[in-house]
Amino acid sequence: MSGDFKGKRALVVDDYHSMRVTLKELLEELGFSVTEAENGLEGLEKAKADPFDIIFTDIVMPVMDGLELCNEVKTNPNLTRIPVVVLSTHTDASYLVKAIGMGADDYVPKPIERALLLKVVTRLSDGY
Amino acid sequence: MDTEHKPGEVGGGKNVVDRMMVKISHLDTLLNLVGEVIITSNNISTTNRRIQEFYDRQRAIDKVTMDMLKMTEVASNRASSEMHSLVMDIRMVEIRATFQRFRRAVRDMAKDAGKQVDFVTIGDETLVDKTIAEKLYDPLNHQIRNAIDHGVEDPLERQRMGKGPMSKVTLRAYQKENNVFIEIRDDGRGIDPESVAKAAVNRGIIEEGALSSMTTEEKLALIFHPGLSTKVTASKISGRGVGMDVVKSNIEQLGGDVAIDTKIGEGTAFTYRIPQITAVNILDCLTVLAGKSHYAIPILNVVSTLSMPASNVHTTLQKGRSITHLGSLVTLFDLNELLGGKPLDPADEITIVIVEAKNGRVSVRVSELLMPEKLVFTPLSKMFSVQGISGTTTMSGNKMGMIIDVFELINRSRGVVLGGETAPVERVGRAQETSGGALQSAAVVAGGTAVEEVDEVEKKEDISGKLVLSSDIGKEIGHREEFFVELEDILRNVDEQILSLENNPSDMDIVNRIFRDFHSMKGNLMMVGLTELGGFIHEVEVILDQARSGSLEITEEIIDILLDSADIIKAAKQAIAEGRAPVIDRSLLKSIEKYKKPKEKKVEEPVDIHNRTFHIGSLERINLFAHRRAEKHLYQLFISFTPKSQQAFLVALLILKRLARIGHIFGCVPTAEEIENQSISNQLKVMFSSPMDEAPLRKFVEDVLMRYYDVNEYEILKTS
Repeated sequence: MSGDFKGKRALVVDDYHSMRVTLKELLEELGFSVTEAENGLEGLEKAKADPFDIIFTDIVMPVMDGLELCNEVKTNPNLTRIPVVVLSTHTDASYLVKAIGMGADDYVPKPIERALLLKVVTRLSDGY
Repeated sequence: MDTEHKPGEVGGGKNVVDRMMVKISHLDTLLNLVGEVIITSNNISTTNRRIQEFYDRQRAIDKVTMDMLKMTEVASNRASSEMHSLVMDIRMVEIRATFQRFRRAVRDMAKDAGKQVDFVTIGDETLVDKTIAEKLYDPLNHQIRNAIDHGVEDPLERQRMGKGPMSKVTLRAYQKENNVFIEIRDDGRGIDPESVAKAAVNRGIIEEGALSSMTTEEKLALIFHPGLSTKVTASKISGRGVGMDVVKSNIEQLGGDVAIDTKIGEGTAFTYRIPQITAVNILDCLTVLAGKSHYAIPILNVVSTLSMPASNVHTTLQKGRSITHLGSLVTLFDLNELLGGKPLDPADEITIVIVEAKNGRVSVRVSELLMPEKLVFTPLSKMFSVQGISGTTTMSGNKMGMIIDVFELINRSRGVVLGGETAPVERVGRAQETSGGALQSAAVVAGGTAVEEVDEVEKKEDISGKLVLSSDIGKEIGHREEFFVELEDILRNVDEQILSLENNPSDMDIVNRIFRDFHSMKGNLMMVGLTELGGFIHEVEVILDQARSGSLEITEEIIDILLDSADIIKAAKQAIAEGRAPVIDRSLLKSIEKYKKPKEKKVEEPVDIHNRTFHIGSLERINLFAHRRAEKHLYQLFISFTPKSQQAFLVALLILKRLARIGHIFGCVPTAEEIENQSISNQLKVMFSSPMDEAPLRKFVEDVLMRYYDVNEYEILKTS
């Protein structure tokens, strides 16, 4: 499966380093090249500066949270086409519902499972 | 540089952006590499000297070569010493975290003791080696307890003394030359040297007659004597824990000392002076030869060396072979044999090293004493320390040598005496210690017998096995340690945040910060597979969320719940580190429950889709007719999710989103609102229109649905 996403660029937004590297490693195994950001604002700026194929974002973050980032990306005509995947624990269902309402395209529950992550990136890259 | 913080104010604006987390183990690896460089650089110097001698004799090597050699040496020396100091710098941390850990403790202790204490920290930004920062915790903790319990007076007494009711305990850190100074100051009653001296006489520590010749300083210094306290009745607070003698020895272990400055009625200050570590992983050793192998014995463990005729060795049935040293019998072993090799060849004259560790004293026979040397120490993994070797080193002349773990060696010698066979004894803790600890390595061993420590190891493996089992990701994700480190980082600050919230209960910024802290801790715990604990934190988070939305007032009780919750996480983390299973205090959950407002859910029952038709509003109905007229096709979709799916509501929302791309959704059962409120069982019914013909639409929908795990069955119907 590795290499399927070669050349694809992912932006990973989370305020915790361990979460970022964990997801980064999983994505890199799939062939993605990964850029990290520590909060929604930094993520938004990076997304504006460089083209990304997919954005992964945590929800609860300082400065700008993931919900706002979803909103900013989905209401920005230049960015709206980028799929946004929110990351959250299963106990935070209400955030996920809010995030989907804000335009998030998919979600990956924490702890991140490799198989599920693959499923999500596959369906998004297939356009579903 | 010193900045004084007002009580309750969160310590200065720390710069988060230019910091990063570095694993201590990486640093230690780097440090070991630096050690290698130092060795190489020493070897270059030696080689250079030899070439110089050769050059002086032969005059055959050309000047340029000589200069180049010289340059290599200089460059290598400079690089190695710069690298060393760089790594030492990286190991430095701010004392802030250590200081702030006491903020909570001071609050609780003052409450318990019925005193009002203003806790002030100064010089939070002072840098100390990480190992030192950790080792300062215990002595500081004891001293702060002492200061609050014995040092400062209660408000009434203070009033009588003409002082304000609020007493002050100050922790201050500063650096001077190569030393770090840590000061614990209180403005309490002070220590009376005469009563210290009297207490010492009463307990038989000194003779009454000796008093007259003692200076005030000497009398004061008596409080460092084991078992002496100026207040006889041990209180709840400072009656437990280490005494001043342990404080002193803790600081001495760091190579420092403790000074007292006190004035009756005005207060007391204890000042620790601690030299900054300048060389880590460099060990003074005695090198010896046993058979063909080179060994290094840490000088700290060497009592004496001697050689004697073999005939001077006593042999007794009970103790085996032994020698007489300074009038007492010391058991004699063969170093090679103890380390699992062949015994040394018999000789008329034998060479002996007497070694000592916390667990005893033995003498070992070696072939030859070489020399004392400063050696760069590379710790071995735990596995090897079983064999009585704690590390490897490169001795002068580029010879590989092994560093003997004397504690372990003595353990092995016990096995020889008792069972004839060496018992494999494994230790924990020390092998994993940071290099600062390794410096004291074989000499300093954590308390407890070897047997207890073996149990520890087994338990630890057991627990870590369980942790991995409880979550498959444990195996997949290689950052468990880092999650724990982050957890620790958050925990260190969260108390400080909660206490500052206590002083500013309506500050939403602080509430948000604490909320994020708990939320992140939850995520971290979930990631390492501790879902139960994660679930507990979620409950706390719910309360905080209410506070965020303004529907919950921050009272003292809430502050207590938050502090207690942080304590539970701390205890759980500690338990895991020590190999125990974490325990969650149910009673706290109950008090959390009390504050939790029930979620406002309109429909609690899951919707049965078969008994309900689409509810289509009048606007939708108009649209529906319009779509029919425009010859768009109308479809119905039934989906059933796998029974165990806990996320059906999310998957349902995502599927609705996808359908909206190819058409217009007129209605669904349950309604979108119901789905959002999680009132969905395992089924979903959707009515939508699309310009797509049945065959391509069927393919699209199938393509979407096959991409979700949770979809069990589905049916697409085209209605006319």
